[in-house]
Order: sequence, then structure tokens, then C-alpha cells
Amino acid sequence: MTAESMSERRPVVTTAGASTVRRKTVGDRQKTAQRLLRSTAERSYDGELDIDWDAPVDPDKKWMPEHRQSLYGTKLWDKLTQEQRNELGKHEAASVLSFGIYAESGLSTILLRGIMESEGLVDDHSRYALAEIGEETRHSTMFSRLVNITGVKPYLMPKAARKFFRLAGLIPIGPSSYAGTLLIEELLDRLQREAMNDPDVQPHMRQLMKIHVLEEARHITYAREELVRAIEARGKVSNAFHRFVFAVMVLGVYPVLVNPLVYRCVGISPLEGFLAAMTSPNYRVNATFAGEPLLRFGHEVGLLDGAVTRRLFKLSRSVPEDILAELDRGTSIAS
Amino acid sequence: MYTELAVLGTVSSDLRLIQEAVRTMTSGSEYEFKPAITAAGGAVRRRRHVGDRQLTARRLLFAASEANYDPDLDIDWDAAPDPDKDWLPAQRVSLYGTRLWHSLDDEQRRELGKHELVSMLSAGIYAQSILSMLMFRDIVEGDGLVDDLTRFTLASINDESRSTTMFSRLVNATGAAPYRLPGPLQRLTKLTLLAPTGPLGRGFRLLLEEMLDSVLRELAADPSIQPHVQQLTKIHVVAGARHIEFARDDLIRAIESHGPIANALHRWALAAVTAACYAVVVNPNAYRAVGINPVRGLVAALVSANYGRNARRATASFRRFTRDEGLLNGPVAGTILRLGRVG
Repeated sequence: MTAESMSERRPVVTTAGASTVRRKTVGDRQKTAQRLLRSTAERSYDGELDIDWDAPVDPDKKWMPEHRQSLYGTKLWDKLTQEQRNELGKHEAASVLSFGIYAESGLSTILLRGIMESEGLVDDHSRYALAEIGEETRHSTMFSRLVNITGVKPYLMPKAARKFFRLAGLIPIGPSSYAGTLLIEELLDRLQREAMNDPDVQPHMRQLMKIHVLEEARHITYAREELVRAIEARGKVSNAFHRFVFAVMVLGVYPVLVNPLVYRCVGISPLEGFLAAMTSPNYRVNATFAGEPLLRFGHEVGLLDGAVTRRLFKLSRSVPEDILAELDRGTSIAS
Repeated sequence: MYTELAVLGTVSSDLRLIQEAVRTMTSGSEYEFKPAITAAGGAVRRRRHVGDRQLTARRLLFAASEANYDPDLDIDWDAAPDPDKDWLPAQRVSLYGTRLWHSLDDEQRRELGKHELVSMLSAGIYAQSILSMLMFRDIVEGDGLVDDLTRFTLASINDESRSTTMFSRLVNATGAAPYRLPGPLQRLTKLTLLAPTGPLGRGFRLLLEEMLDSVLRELAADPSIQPHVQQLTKIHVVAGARHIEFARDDLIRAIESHGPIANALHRWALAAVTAACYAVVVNPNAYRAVGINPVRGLVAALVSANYGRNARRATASFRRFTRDEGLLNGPVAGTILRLGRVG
């Protein structure tokens, strides 16, 4: 490492641990990768060692904050006892973690494709992708251990849906794949940042969230920069297509994150629970809370523009009011 | 560091023997009588004991967390290459012993060896990426999302990504550009996840692991080889041994869960892959580095007496295993292997 490259060093994350990418700071691919690799060497964790799996589960603590549970604030919620609410929270957490393992497998596959299809097979950009895959495997390992200690069975995706994974090699890599990656990473990041400081949450879960948040900040930086580069490299039509795909993903992410089968554990039928969650006034609160950082960034880079996309985003109920107002006026920072 | 690795290796193999013994003693069902032919129809010469998948995974997972290394720190990448040392032993260079070889001077021979090593490492990067993709597919399509088998698979992917990192740093250390797959083949990698599951895929994985292991294992013991290469090979064989053990068990399980007709087709395809694999290890463009036309170099390499020797050597442990399991010793498979000069 030369002194020259050291002097260009910028923090990868803010002091609060948030990702630092803003549109104007997107720099050279290789330099960003070097910076992130250095950060990876300095700060990386191993869920197997850095979480005390032998510590007992605290029966009085929750597996996720109550106000982020899908049924919170609905009529169904009022009928549940405190114990049932905790039980449902445990199952919702297991569902999110199970989905997390699928999502990490999917995005690692996209990263592997990126390596094989890249021009510079052996450069720092590829090596950072490899480092990220390594981290994702450790995250999945720690998610799986956490599901084990909840005592709940993992929430598997339906067999037919899992077969779609075989098409992961064929989907076009572009703005929508990076935005989709960010969607999972940033939603979890936002929710985990809040819950990791909540003293009512199980200690294992809080430690898992801290590790995940710290390492995911680098992944977010990497994906945000790739997203901006990908948008800049494409024409209007291609970008409009990718915007549409991203909007559909935002619409569909919540029903996938919490598997409706979780409601069975407290005797609620999956359909009834799902409808209650989707029509709950709390849905907008939670969706906006979780989606805000990503959608603000998406708005900055013009990912929310376009008539069709705009309507889909309104439907998603996850866009903050001020951005909605700007979209309605037809202005965006990017244009 | 390396003595430590070696010690860890012995400790874990001792542990393995003890655990094998315990497992044999405790699981009565393993003693059931089994017919003397495999499901693949071949004769059984030595019936291997295949344990429970989860137990094997747990044991290897334990080994994986014990013997850990960092590809960026455990090799001194800042050290300059030694100009008097080879990147690949002369007899492993594809043109060794041919007329073209005699027309090269010492420096050119070393240069060609370097480019052939880079070509092998590049192929290794693609192969490991494909293996990782297929392992992710196993996780997604398997039903035990949060069990030890998934965790061992994840640990293996982690091993692969670290070893790919080492390969790419080693390519950087040689100063040569990587040998990328030609366009059409590269587009073909998009179909990786559509590859059928079953004995062929499992066999292919084992073949790759065994070939990498036997090629690298030899370099580890050779003092005339560049120190970076030696360090890399020492690190690689530790993780490689775990992967081979798991892949062997997986192949046997896959064979046992398929019928005789499917198995016969898979065996013949696997024989063809085994017969052809060594021919694609060296990208013919490597010959350009010493001014030899790629086609001319490729032909000279394939017809040389050395080719069969090296191909047999690289696939020896894989063929020994598959022969013992009755996989590749039928008349058809045997003929295919002989045609590929590895039988």
C-alpha cells in the first residue's frame, strides 16, 4: 500500500456507523473497493465467537420490538395476551431471519456472477465482492443459530418459489439488482439499528444485530456506488425498466419478509393475519420508517421518477411525505 | 504459522478417528447387511462407511472453525518474487519434453510456467465461483435451512471465497494478466444454476477439489518453487481436505439415491468430464507469452507423452476413489477414460 493511497482514505461509514455514499461522492470503483477491503480487515466479526450462544434465553425479553410487529395496533393485536404477543414476535423474527438466509444466498450469487463476468477477474473490486460473500456466509450462519435458539422451525419459502433461484444466473444485472440488494440490506439495517439498542430485546438478538449493522454498512456503500454507476451507464429506456422492477420489489417485500404462516402460532389464520397486517394503520408507519433511508437515496439518484413508478411507490405506502410531495410536483434532485 | 496448521491438521485427523470409532459403536443401524453391488451396478471392492450427513457436517464444521487463516495476512504478499525460482515445476509445464520445449531457453521455460500457473489459477477462480453458486443452490433448495449441514456448506463457501482471494492475489504477484474465459464459455456460466443435481454434479465438485488438491499438494513440497506459491498451497490443502471428505460422502449419497439407469448415464458423463478436464486447465493463449502460436502449442501439448502422465497424476486420487466405489470401472467408463489417456 503506498502513502499516496493512504492519504486518499475516507471513512467508509460515518461515526454513527451509517453508510456515507451520496451521489456526488461516487468515486473510482477500485479505490472504493480498496477502502472497503481495508475496513473489512480491521473490523470484522465472527458470529460463532462474538455471540455468547451458551447464555440462556431470557423468558421476559422480546425477540423484536412490539411496535414493529406486523399486527401491532390492529384489532387482532388487542385480543392477544402478552405471552401470545411475545410468541408471535418470536415467530416473526424467525421468519425474517429465514428470509435473510435466502436473500443473502441470492445476493451472493449475484456477486459471484459479477466476479465471473467482470473484466478484471483478479482486481480489488472482485476481491471485495469475495470478502462480502464471506461475510454473508457468516451472517447466514449466525441467523441460522439464532433461529435454532428460538426453538422455532425455520420458515421455508414454498418449494416452487425456491426453484426460481435457478434463474438467478439469467436475470440481467443492472440498477434493479443493486437496488434490490439495497432494499434487503437497508430495510434490515434500519430496523436493526433501532432494535439493537432496545434493552427489552433478547441479548443474543441484540448482539447479532450489532454485528450485522456494522458489517452491512460496508455492503451498503458498495451497492449504493454500484447502483449509481449502473444508472449512469444505461439509457432512459433501460433505466425506466429497472425503476419499474425496483418499485415492484418494494411493493412485495413486506409480505415476503413476514411469512403469513407465522400467525398460526397464536391461532390466527394466515389469511386473516395477513389481511389485518396489510390494512393496519401501522403498516405505513413501519414501512416508511424502514424504507426511508433507501428511498431518500433512491429519490436523489432518480430511482423514483416516472409516472408508472411514482404510482407504484405511492401504493407501497413506504415513501416519506415530503418525497411524495416532490414527486407529485414532478421534480427530483437528480433532474 | 505453518507448523501450527500442520499440528491442527494432525489433531483434527486424530479427533476424526476417535469420532468415527464412537459413531460406529453407537449407531447399530449401520451394521445392516447391504448387497455387494452398488446402486450404480458396479462391484464393491471396499465398502465405505457413509455416516449421517448432519454428523459429518458437524464434525467438519468444528474442524473449519479451528483451522482458520486469513488469505491477506498469512501470505507475505509484499515479498518480491525470487527471480531464480520457478512458478511451476518444469515437468508439469504442458510443453515439457516436446520439440517446442527444447527450442525454448531457460528463461522462456520459466516464463511459460508462470503463464500456465496463472491460467490454472484463473480456471480455479471460475471453478470455485461455480462451486459456491451450486452450494448456495443446495442451501436454498434444501429443507434444513438452519441445520449444521447448511452451516458447513456456508463455511465451505467461505473457504472457497478466501481461497479465490488468494488465487487472485497470487495472479497479481506474478505480474501476468489473468486468463479470462472466452466469451461464449463465459455466457455459458449463466446457466450454472440450471445444471442438474445428482451424481454428475457431485462428482464434478469432487473432481475439481481433488485435482486442485493433487496439483497444489505437489508444489507445497518443492523447494525450487516461488515462496508465495508454496505458502498458498500449504494453506489450501488444509481446507481442501475437509471439502474432499464432504464431497466424497455427498457423491456416495447421491449415487445411492438414484436408480441404476440414471446412475449409468451420470457415470458415463462423469467419465467423459474426467477424461477431458486436464486438457482445459491450460488456456492455449498462454503459449503466446513465449511466442508460440496457441493452436500449435495446444496440439504439441496434447500429443506429448507428458500429457497423459500429468493428467493421470492430477486425477489419480479421484480415479482411485471412484474405482473403489465402483463408479468408473465399467467397460464404457473405462473406455472413455482410456480415450482421454487418463485410464
